[in-house]
Amino acid sequence: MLEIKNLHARVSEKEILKGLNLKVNAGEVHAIMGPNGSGKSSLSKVLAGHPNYEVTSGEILFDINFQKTDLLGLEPDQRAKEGIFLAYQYPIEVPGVSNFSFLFESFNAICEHQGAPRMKEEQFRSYLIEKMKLVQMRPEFIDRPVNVGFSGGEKKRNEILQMAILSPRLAILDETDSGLDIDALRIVAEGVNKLRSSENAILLITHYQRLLDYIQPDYVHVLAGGKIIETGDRSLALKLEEKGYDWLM
Amino acid sequence: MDFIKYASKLNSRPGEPQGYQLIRNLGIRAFETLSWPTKKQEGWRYSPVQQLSDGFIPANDDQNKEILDTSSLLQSLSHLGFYTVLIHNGQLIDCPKELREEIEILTLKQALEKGLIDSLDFSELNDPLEALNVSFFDRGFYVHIPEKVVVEKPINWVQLYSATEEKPLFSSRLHIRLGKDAKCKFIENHQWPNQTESIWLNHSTKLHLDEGAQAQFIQWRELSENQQDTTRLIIKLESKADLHCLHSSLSRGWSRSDVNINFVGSNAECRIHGIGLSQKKGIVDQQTKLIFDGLNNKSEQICKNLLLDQSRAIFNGRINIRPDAQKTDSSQLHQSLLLSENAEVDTKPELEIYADDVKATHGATVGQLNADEIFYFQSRGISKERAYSILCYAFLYDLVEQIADSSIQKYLKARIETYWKGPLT
Repeated sequence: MLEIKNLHARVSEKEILKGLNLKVNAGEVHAIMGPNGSGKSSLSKVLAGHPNYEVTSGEILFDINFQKTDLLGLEPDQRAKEGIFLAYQYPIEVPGVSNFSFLFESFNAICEHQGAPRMKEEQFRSYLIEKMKLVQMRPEFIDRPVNVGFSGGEKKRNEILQMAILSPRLAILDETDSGLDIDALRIVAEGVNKLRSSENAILLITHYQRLLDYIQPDYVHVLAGGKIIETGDRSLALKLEEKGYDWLM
Repeated sequence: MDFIKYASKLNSRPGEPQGYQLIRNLGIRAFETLSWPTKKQEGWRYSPVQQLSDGFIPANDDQNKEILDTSSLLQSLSHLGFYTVLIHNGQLIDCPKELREEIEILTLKQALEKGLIDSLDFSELNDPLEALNVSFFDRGFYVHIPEKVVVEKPINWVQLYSATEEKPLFSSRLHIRLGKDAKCKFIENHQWPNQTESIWLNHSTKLHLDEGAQAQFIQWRELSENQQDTTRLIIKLESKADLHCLHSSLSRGWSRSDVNINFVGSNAECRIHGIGLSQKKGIVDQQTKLIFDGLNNKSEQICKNLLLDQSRAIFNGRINIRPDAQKTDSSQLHQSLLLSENAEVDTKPELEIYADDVKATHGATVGQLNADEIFYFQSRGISKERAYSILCYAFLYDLVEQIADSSIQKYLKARIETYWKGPLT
């Protein structure tokens, strides 16, 4: 589904990704771990198409209509329409735009692109309320401005709610576990697990093994110095928890 | 045009009551004493004062017999569920019977004759344009919401203007009094349906809230190129009064608001919100002055300006907390969103604090659309263009949505979207 080949990217004049390779198939969950400043969050932003990052070489091939398409040629909104979803480490607050209208706009933009009919407001409201149960969000969050006045946990739940609504083919969860207490972590992880399927893939970016107790990955990668330097199964995460990253450097 | 000559002409009409002449003379005297606005005066420093004397002629209401098709206008407003009152060039055209059963609507002349107002209501003439308005005193209305009366439906007070002359100067006046514990929602809506050329509206509203009265008051204006309005909103709040005021201008011309609020009692609360959208060479000029005289009063002032093209916004926010006004809590925020490199904003707080146990804050922000917000929208499948549009409207709607009436919110949003089709048109 996704194949990243020799990806180099920089922000301002600083090179962050230095020849990264990664292959993800449908139905798989890949965890990406690594020390601070190794380029984990940058990878998620490059995949989503953040304008501050400049890709200097390499390819990000993504299956679109059974064809490998380089995502680098697509605008961020086009990537989202093709099924790329980024759950933010620090979700953005948008005063003046209600959660409902934001999600309604987003959902229908994606529906239209995929040739599905637009959903009507009332129908979408019921759909939204149903999906909110997945992350145990109260209905009053529907009409509040996007993430404004939300606690850290509520913001992260709101991100997973968006993922549930948009059903992406590739979800990139950037430190979704950061700032969450045990209960919130469990709720968010259960939400993600319910969204796992053989059709989609998940890229989990995290610092901590504990998230992987809840969302079990098929592969664990270590990203350091802008490259993937080690790949293994879940036991690699346990080893990292025990020994840190130094033994790999 | 010699404005004084015109005012004297009104005074010399046959049978003109002495009381009216007295009021006009107050205006004339003040107008002659006060100097005409110049850029040397702080409150006019950034305003295009030269436009004020640019050949405008007082509109002669008696000669403007043009019949407007008000039935279609009424029809277009009927679905809103408001009480719609239509005024054309100072004449009452339509007013729902049910509203008249709830409140009192009189002409200013009737109110004077009944002793409900007197010449004192036309005094305190520190502003030459207010003096000009008083010196032209002729038509205008007095709205009285009696003690404890709660008007549930919003009142949409639509003032229509039309003239056959070129460059007409319209002068109009509205006095509103809410009795003790009375409650209402009021939209003051100025429109000039057939007027595409230059006009000048010089309007004054006096709003007085008695003890415990509550009001949501919206002042709304939309201007095309070459049109200008200089509008005053003079508010007096008695003890425990609660006012939410939204003064708004959508302008391709010059729209100036002078909002003066005097907290004469104690424990009153006021939210003073302002919206300005300026386009082309439009100017939104907001001058606010809050005077705190009593104890423990609270105000929240937020003013938002969205500027496009070569437009400008001017904000001058004076807060005067007098020695006896202890425990005053007053905040002021002016936010501008500049969507063009050629747009300009001049913003200035003026805080004068003479009491020692008060809280007073002020702040101003000037910026562009937030790039992180735009990327967030894009990462959810919403195009950059659409994100721009949603975020611009959201900037303005933030204040519209604070009005505690969804039908008013809906109406005002529709007005904004009719006036302005978004940043990319």
